[in-house]
Amino acid sequence: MSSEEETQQSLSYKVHKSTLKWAPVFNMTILLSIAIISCLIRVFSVIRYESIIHEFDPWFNYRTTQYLVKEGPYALWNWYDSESWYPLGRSVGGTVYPGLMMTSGMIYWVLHKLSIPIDIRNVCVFLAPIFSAFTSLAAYGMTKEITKRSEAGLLSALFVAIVPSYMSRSVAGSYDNEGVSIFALVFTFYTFLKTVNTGSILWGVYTALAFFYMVASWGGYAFIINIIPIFVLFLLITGRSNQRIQVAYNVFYILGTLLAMQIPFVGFQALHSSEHMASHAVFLLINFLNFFSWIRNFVSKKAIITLTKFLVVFLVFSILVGVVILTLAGKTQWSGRSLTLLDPTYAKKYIPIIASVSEHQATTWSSFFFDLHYLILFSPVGLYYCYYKPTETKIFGALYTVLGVYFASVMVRLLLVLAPAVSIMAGIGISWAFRKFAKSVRSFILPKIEKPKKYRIPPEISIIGLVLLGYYCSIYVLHANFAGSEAYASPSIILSSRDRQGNRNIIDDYREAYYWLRMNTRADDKIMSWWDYGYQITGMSNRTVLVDNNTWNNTHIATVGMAMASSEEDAFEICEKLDVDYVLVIFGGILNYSGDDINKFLWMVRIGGGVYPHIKEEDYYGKGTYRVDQYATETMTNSLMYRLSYYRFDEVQTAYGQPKGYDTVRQAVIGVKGYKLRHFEEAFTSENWIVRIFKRKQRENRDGVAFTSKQTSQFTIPKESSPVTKFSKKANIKQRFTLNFNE
Amino acid sequence: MLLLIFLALVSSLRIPKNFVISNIERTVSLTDRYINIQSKITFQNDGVIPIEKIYYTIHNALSDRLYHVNVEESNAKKLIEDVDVKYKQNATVYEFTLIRPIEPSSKLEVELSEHFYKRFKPLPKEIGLEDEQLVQFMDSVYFFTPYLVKNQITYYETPKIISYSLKSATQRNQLLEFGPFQDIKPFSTQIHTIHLENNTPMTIFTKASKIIEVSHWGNILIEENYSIENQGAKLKGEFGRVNFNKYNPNVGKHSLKQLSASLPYDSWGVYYRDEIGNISTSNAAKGKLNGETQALVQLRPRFAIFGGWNSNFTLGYNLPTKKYLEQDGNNFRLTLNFSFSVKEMVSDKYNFQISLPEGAYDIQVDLPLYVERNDTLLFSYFDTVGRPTIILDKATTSQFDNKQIIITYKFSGVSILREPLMIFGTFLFAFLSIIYLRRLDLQTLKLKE
Repeated sequence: MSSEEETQQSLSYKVHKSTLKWAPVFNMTILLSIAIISCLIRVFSVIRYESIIHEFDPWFNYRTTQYLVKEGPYALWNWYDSESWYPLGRSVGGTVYPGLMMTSGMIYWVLHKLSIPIDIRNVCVFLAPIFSAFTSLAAYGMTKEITKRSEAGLLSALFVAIVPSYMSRSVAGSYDNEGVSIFALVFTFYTFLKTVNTGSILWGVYTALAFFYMVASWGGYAFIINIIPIFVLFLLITGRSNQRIQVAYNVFYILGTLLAMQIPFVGFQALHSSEHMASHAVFLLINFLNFFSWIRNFVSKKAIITLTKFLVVFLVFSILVGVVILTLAGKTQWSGRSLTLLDPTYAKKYIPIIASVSEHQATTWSSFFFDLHYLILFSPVGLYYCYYKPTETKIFGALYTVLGVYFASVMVRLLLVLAPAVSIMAGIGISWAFRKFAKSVRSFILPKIEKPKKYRIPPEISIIGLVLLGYYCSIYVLHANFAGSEAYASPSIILSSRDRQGNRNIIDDYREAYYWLRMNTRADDKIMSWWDYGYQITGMSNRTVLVDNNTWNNTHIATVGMAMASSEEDAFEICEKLDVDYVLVIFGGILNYSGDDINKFLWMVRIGGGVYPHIKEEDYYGKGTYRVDQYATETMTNSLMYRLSYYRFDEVQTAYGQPKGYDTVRQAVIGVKGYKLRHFEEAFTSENWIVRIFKRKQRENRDGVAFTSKQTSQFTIPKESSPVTKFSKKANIKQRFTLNFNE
Repeated sequence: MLLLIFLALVSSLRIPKNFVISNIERTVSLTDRYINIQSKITFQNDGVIPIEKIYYTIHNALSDRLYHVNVEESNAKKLIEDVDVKYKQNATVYEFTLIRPIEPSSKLEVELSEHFYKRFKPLPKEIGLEDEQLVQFMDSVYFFTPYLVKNQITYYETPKIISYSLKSATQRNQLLEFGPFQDIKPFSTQIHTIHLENNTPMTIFTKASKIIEVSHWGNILIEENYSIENQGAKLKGEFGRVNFNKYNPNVGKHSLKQLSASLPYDSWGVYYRDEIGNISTSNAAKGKLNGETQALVQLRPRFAIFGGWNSNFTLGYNLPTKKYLEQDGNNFRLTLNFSFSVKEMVSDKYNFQISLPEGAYDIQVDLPLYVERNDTLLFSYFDTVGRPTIILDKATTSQFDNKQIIITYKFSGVSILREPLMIFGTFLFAFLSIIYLRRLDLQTLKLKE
């Protein structure tokens, strides 16, 4: 060895040595940068648009948070919201997962105590990005618990931080439960794995607390309360159970269930709902088995085998029978959404309201790829690694991934639950591959430290592998960047378009109309719209709505669906009974905005028809398909939705070279032209027609009463009309007059 | 004694016998949403003493709709109390001090300008989208004045006359001519009405406010809030987007589609929003207007504001301190405009609020206007004792009140470092305590591995 080579060698050894020395610092710095990146990549929406609450559900959360910081937490528990579900109202305190609101309320109060008078809207807008940073830290911790390796943790943290699926629910402004609960989910798993690894009761308590936060934040906590028992059961069956598992599970189960019951929306469901049954069963099982193994010390070996066989069969059988009996007796119930998870066709058959939501649809392969991208390819490597040399925590990771894949395939929305699992698995897999490649490279450069082994990958291939992996990872990062800055940055209440010069135009029709409602209708006016817009109307217009995105009362939604699907006369009767002052419809025929009410109309028909059988879906199909043109059926063209959406539409030219009244979404000229509305009048239409608001006219004088002498003498003014005191004098005179006239 | 003082206070309106208005020519412009009356008044002093104060009286039925009155040749305006006029005539008196007194047996022509709002009454009260807005204007035939008027002639400029009640008036196209009338006694009134077409949106601000926060770090933050209402004829029947759109400028002429505001030239970070976020329809440009460099902001409301409709919005911007804040040791002098920056609008109520940096003391406000003043403290970012805040309230406010308000105060240079030091200290404490706690061994039971 020449001296030159020696110095080179010693240099690389020096580098190696100092790198090792500084590794923890690198580790922390990288982790911190990942946290910062995860925040920053989610702020594109604020940069491109503005600091505003997105979509639909976040508007309710935002409104509740506003109420919370204004009135305090106790007032929130007792809040009976009269602005929604008119005339029923909604008890918000008992039907809400308050974790999200409490979190932002807490941040708000603390900051105000520190004399940082930040606006609550900004707390809400930036909450999800901040929590995504926490999520990436939790994912680091969880991966480290699974593999005991920092580099896998770092990769996982990076993957979680920018995974598009999670990003779609946590961009700035997307103020939804998922924003905080994905953190809660990963953190619960992290603490649970820590407990599994250490057997520490303290960490078990932390797990229960993290679980409590999860329960407070999202209905998706059912995933945790099922996956942990399944994991424990798996260990029991494979004979890997031990004292640590028992400590971890018992502490988690007892404290977690007790804490879950503290949330009013969950309450005793934590005991008797079907989602929790598995946890009860496993609790009984693990303790019974433990008790049994303790007994084993005192009984002979032969007896033990028979006893085991008998008891296991007995236990499993009795639990099964118990569950079946409870289910049949109606003591325990599966919620519609959970049933949909077990039987993906369930909702389609029985509950159209669940099926109508696009995020409850089965996941398509394209959305798998768009939301997870290369992680799908990497994660099987991690999965393989987990099964290759299994430990308890690795089994947990693998189980979580497998179950996540199943749930994600059933519902698009649950891709969100899968995203951390896949990211962690991909992180594990890639770091494993990296490690293998790096070892071979190192054995080439630093033969003294890394002893060359016989079957090691040749360094040339390793370098190619490293480059390839790096390339794929960077493609993933680019894709995530695209998703964060373009695909998921839109707040959906603000649309934007580009004109021929490339200028960006903001289409702000929603807010235009909602603000019109807020400023120019009476404070107690009731707005009827399809339930999608309920939260936005109460949030932005501060007006009472009939139905909203909470969808707790199917009948009420069906009534609104029926009103929309009925003829104008019938709809007027329904609206009058429901005290509706304004009807709001979304119409995209001018701007080619496809998410409008005519396209959602079939769901209104289906949901309405589910409760009111005289509404039949076939009646709305012209020539076998759903259409709005001249072949549309009479039921369709007479329906309120059709009438309101296309009111005076035939007077405008929408597309070049097409006749007037050409619907750009349906690509057809509307079938009925030149009609007048009798009971409704156009109160407001936004600039691009996206939102149309119609006012219900008052009943005309003597409306609906045929003026024949016979009928008049029999006609008595019904009691319902008596509240109209303003005109009662006139009415009396008229009444008297008609009576005299008849005599 | 008390009576004497009382008399001295109230009998300030002294009109010499031989001091008369020899000629008055009034031009009433009814073409805009607000009413502008320009009068050329020739005073004749046949007495023996020079007259340097003249009086303008306004009937109390109109006094709160008068948002500005001025005499060109005067240098001081004062609201004075006169029991006689107040109770006998039910009127308010303004006293103007002339720059050049009217010497005995001489004449002086002065120009009086009066600006009114809320004097148009929509008739019919409700109109359709495509209809023209007709309004009724009520006025006195004679100039309401404490002086004897020898000769008066009045012109009413209108966009289009529908009818008028005074039969003796002559109409020339869209101009009405009243008079000439001779020898009108003081305080003579005779009501007449004109029914005319006026399609300008009758919008006013029901409320406006300007909130200013001054930071010695170099920025002045200004936020203006407005509540706007169209008091014109209410919209009857359907709204009709088919008719009312950008291709049909003649439909819905009586709705407010645009406002403009002029901001100081060096303003930056302009924002225009309301309770639910940005209003995306606005434009801003810096340029020269009427010889003054300024930033012109064009504001379109979220929706065109028809009669009876309301809306509200916020306009905010920042100014650099270097131009508006003068320093002399510990003494600071801040010069800012008092009124709001949206042009050609009048507000019923106006609230001006300015917060000086925490630790400012010895605050003096110099404002050439009559306002109500309240002081309070504002707690904003990192404040401990609160920022001294001056709140000025004024009733009817318009661009004419855009006087410069000068605030002088003292502020020690060390105070500026208080907040950064506080943050620094907090973080230092936090880090030190974490370092300490990390080294603390709290394990009670040493477990053997």
